[in-house]
Amino acid sequence: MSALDIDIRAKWFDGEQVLGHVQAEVPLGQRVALLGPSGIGKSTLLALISGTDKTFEGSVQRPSGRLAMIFQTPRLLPWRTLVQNIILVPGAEDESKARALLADVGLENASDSHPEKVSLGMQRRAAIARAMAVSPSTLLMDEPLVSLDPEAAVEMRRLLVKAMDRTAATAMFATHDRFEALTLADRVLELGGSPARIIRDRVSPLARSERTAEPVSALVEEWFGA
Amino acid sequence: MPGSRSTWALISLAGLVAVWTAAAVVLQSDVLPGPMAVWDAGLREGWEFFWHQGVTLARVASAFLLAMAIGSAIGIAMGMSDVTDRVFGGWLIFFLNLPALVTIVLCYVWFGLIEVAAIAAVAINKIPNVAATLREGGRALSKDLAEMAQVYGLTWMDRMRHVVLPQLAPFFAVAARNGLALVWKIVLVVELLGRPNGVGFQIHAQFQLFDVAAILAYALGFIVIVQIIELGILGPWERAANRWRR
Repeated sequence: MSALDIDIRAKWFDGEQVLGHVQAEVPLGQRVALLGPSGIGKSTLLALISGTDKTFEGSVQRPSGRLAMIFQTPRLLPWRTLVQNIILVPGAEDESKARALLADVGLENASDSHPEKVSLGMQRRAAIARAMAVSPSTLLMDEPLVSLDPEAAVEMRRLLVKAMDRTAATAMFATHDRFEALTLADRVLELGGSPARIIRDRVSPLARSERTAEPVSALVEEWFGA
Repeated sequence: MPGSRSTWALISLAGLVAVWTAAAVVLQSDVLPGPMAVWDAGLREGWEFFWHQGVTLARVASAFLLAMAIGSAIGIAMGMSDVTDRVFGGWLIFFLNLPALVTIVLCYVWFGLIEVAAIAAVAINKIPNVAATLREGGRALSKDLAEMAQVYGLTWMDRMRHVVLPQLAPFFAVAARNGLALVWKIVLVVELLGRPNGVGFQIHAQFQLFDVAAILAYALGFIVIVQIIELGILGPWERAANRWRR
């Protein structure tokens, strides 16, 4: 099996170049943060990697196997119940598996509700369960913790780690939050400039089990200063 | 308050019947028979009454289904693709503005006074309306959900079934509701101009005899049928399709 191989030379939007040379080889199972300020082109880059946007110069090679993505918003089908939202995705197994996954993210009592009838936080958890359900080889996440209050963010982060542990997927997530990046990622790609390119590519010295609040804060300070 | 709404609808209709009765009593004229006279006229027609209603209903159903199928396919294609929209946008405007009478006469001239020409004429009148409505639906389709379906690799069939068609359900409902009302009125004209049976034919025949009571009996009979379809089929289907909403 090959790794995630990104070699993008340029991406244009309406005559304006938003991405420059973005090149990275991601080994299987590695968790990579795309770090950069809002509007730099992180979501665009994820769209190129996911294949939803094919109009760019360069190439992206994904590991064989399924792709899953957790978007900024849950993107569940409002006219299907939570459990149906999971079952209808190719690669998800039977209903009992889907219910077990929903129970894992604390939604055992909401499985048969429609998305608009549960809270946004519950919808986001269901979206994580959907990503886990397809046993993806690649997991992409676009600002998965954005606009959550600090407590909800802690809970959601725990679930994302669970999703990554469970699937052992090669993972890439966009974030503008340095602390979040270093808590979740083995490696941090920093995007900057205009058109955006990778300005720094660093591997975290912390093992996954060591990424608790204090050492992560210390590393943020060491890497980025105050 | 659905209960009180249907109660009010009944009260309102009873008011209309009362005004009609009063006017008929005051005028005492053959050109405005009262409700009882209309009822009697209906009974006088006997089995023929139901036969003509049935024939018209069959024409309405075929033209309606044909127009919904073709119109929604065209509309969705135009709504989802800018190229299709640009190429056929002018055609849509042309057919939307083509008077029903012209289509009917041309269909009869080109294909003869046959059933196929009658159904086709009605369908052609309705297709542009369905297409215009469903085009709006196609344009309003969520890009977010389309991306999600693409990322997760849903098949074309599954995308239609789980992602696209549920989003279009409200547009289908509007097209169906407006469609039914439009189609049956055009069917009457088609029957009047070139069919030997149906409610439209009967209205034409009774017009020759100046039998206003029979004309009203046939018209009211079909209004009742259309209302039954609306309340009995379209209404429950719409409610089922909207169950997921908050």
